[in-house]
Amino acid sequence: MVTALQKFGTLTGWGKDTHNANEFGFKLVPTYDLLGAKYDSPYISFSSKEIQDHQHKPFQKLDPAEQDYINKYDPKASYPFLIINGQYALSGPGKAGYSPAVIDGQSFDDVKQQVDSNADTPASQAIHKEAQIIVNYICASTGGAPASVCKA
Amino acid sequence: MLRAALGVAFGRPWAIPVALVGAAAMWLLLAWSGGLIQDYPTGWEFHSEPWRLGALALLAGMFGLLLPLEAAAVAKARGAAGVAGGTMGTVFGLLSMSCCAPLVIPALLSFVGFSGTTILSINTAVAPYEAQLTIAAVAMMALSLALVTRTLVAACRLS
Repeated sequence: MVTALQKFGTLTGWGKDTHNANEFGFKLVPTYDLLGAKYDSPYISFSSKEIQDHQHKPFQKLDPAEQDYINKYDPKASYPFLIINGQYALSGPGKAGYSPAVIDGQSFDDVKQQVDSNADTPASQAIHKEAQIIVNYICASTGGAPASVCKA
Repeated sequence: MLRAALGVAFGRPWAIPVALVGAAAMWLLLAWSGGLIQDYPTGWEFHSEPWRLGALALLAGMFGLLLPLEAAAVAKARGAAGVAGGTMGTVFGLLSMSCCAPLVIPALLSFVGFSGTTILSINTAVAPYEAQLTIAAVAMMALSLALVTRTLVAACRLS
């Protein structure tokens, strides 16, 4: 998702995080911490919510509009859940994404370096593939703007 | 007592296949609803912590034992005094199924029409207590086995 967002604007203030060690049998899965992130784009806006903390306790609350999206597009409350412009929804880990096993045990910096350099590795390929799906949905919702991204 | 009840229940030719199919179905239900089985673009994958895998195997195995015991108890105790115990065994068996994996509850609630946000709230509320819920599930399944065993043995004494 971050890879897709960065094609439309600038994401700053993000941090490095991991999923809980050994959760679901994965050693340590790197991920972005978007709690302090700020996104600037002339085309789209972005917001995210973390509903549970690392101890699985309730964390951020959904506002009424977000609740409406969950009720409408994610009736089984699968996560991660992504809604784009109220038009396109992706729910659950498997629909557009990739298995955490692809990046399990790798450091955040190593995975980011692979993605940034478009390396020919399973992690980079999987992340770019998911990003392209999200980019396509965003482009459909912006009417194809910007052309530099949507017609690439 | 359990050995005697198992002897009666598994004395029927269909008991072992029923137990195996029941245990496999229960394992699949718990694994799927608990999010251990996922369909990724690259194919199906199964991931779990060892303790969760052990709990699932234990519950599925106990459920496999429970099915032939339930069937034998119902057959033997039909119209006899022990039916109440058999019914309670079924109730506890069902409770232990829904209790085992917190995500089974949202799956069931979704099936009966609860909203996504309600399910999300319940899921978030029960997630910190997953270990306790799993222990409770094993305890209820054990209680279920004990109740059905008692019913079956009592019915055999009457008949």
